[in-house]
Amino acid sequence: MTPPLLRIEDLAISIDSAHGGRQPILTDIDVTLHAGETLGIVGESGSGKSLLSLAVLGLLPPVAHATGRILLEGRDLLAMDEDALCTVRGRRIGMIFQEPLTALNPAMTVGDQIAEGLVVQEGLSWRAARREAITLLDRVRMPDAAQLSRAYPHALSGGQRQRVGIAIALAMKPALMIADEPTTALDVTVQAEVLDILDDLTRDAGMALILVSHDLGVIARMCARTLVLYAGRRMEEGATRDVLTAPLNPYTRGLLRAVPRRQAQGGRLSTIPGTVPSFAALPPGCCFSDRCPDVIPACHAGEPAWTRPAPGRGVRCIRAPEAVAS
Amino acid sequence: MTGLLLRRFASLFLTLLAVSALIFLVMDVLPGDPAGIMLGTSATPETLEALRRELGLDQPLVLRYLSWLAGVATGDLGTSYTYGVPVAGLIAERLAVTLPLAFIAILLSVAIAVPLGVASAARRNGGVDFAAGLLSQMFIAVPGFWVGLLLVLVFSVLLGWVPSGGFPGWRAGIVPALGALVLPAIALALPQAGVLTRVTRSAVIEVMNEDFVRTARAKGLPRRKALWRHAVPNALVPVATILGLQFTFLIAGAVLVENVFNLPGLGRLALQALSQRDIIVMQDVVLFFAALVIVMNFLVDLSYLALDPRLRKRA
Repeated sequence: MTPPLLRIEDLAISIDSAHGGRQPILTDIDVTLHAGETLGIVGESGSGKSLLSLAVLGLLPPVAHATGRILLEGRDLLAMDEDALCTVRGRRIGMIFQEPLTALNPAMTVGDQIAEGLVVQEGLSWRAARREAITLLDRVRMPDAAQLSRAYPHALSGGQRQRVGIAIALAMKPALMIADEPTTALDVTVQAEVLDILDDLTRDAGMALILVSHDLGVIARMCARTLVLYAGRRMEEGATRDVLTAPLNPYTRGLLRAVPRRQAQGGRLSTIPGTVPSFAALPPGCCFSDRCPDVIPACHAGEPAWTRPAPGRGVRCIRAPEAVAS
Repeated sequence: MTGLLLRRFASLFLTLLAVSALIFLVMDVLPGDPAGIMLGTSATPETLEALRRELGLDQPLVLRYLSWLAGVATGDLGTSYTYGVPVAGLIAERLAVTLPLAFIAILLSVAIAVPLGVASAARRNGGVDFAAGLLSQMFIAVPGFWVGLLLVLVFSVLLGWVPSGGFPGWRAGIVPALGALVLPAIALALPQAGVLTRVTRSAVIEVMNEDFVRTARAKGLPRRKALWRHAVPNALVPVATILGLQFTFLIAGAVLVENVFNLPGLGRLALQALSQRDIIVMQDVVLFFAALVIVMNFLVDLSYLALDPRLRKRA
């Protein structure tokens, strides 16, 4: 069997805290992704999702420190020097960012921003790279690609800007695409279109996709497998269908109940009581115990271990066996 | 775009008009009688009166102002009391020194400040940043004319590389002429470079935190390329603004530095005219300085359109 495209082993990320010392953010992250697979990472804001995607790209802010291993095609990105990382970024891993407005350089035409990677990394001439940029804009279904490639980002709509973002990430045909909340900043009508484009293009190119989102609907639509994060920890993992229809962790159940449904019989939307605790003030034992509806005294005793109730399925909850049984 | 240019031209014109009135008033209340200074203490009241009439100094203030304005508008700047030559020619002749001097000083200050500011921003709180901070503080704190004296001491007196002052004129050849301008230009440029370094540093640091710099890095651009291609172009608007504001200080500095280096420039002309109560020359030179500053700021405003595409649309 070929080695997985991406293998994250025992990754932990901490950041320098204001009063000295380091505050752990992500702990015990383990991810395996084969070529062409799609993985959704879901969690509330502040669960460490974005930090995780930046870590894979080797673009953590200087205050963040990662331990563990991030193996891309067998090579450990955390052990790589900056020059080697530069050849991985864009070429092997493409990244789409959340805010399509601020993620684009206001003083450079969108065509040049797409072409730039091809010039710097692939050694294309600007002329050839600009031509390629127009082709890419065409592929992300940008109307009038040739003309809009000479436009500056401020002249484009939010949806068009995010298409440019996708085109930039696609330009060097990376094996892995990471999309960090790619549609959160967009109108609902535009969201569906952008997701379609992303889905089609990654599928056509056989790219693996990691989609980071707080939106279970987006994940359900795009990803074969889902990983649920809470407070920087894995809470549940499995095939998206299983996770969504038979959740094992009370946190996943809470997330699902909070998704608006058309056929809901009136009443208010369900919410998870409380807010995500700050990383410095996690409850003892299970990190979700202070908000969990199914909490029992044993939950406070210690951090539950990651268990594998079935092949390809993982959960962190001491009461998971009861959920499996039911 | 044309609308913007027209509006700017109109405000440029009005500003100049206001400045001219102010200059004229200040010159009028300034003590000292040009006729008295020209004729010396032994002149009789009759000859003084005759000279005043000849110079038009016996006319009411408003009339004198209007006739000066009419002259300026038609390109006749009047005749110098002390030199007896048209002021326009005098300014043109001195401009051949001051304009290159200012231009070299601006180039030098940008050439020092932008790389230094970018380098300190790139390695914030590092060694380069510390050294650049120290250097720019020094540039700002030490007055330009004193730096000029120091430069003369080292490069003219001790090393003998360049003349200590004076100007051979452009007919003597480019190299000697530029040689005479190098030290004064450095003296003028350093305080400007100090301020500009700080501005560049903070502007680049701010832009480096922008998402689009991260996007550039995600494409695989090395740090340095992302810095120069993405962060720096977006940090240039504040730098251009300060550069425009500094032009005023550059002109003020030129008056001092030209005197230290004995350069026959506009600044020296202004100072000589002031001490000799050559009021017509004073008025013209100060108005000319004001026009230079205003035009410079107009050019800075235009540069925004080149630097930031978002403004082009609004314009």
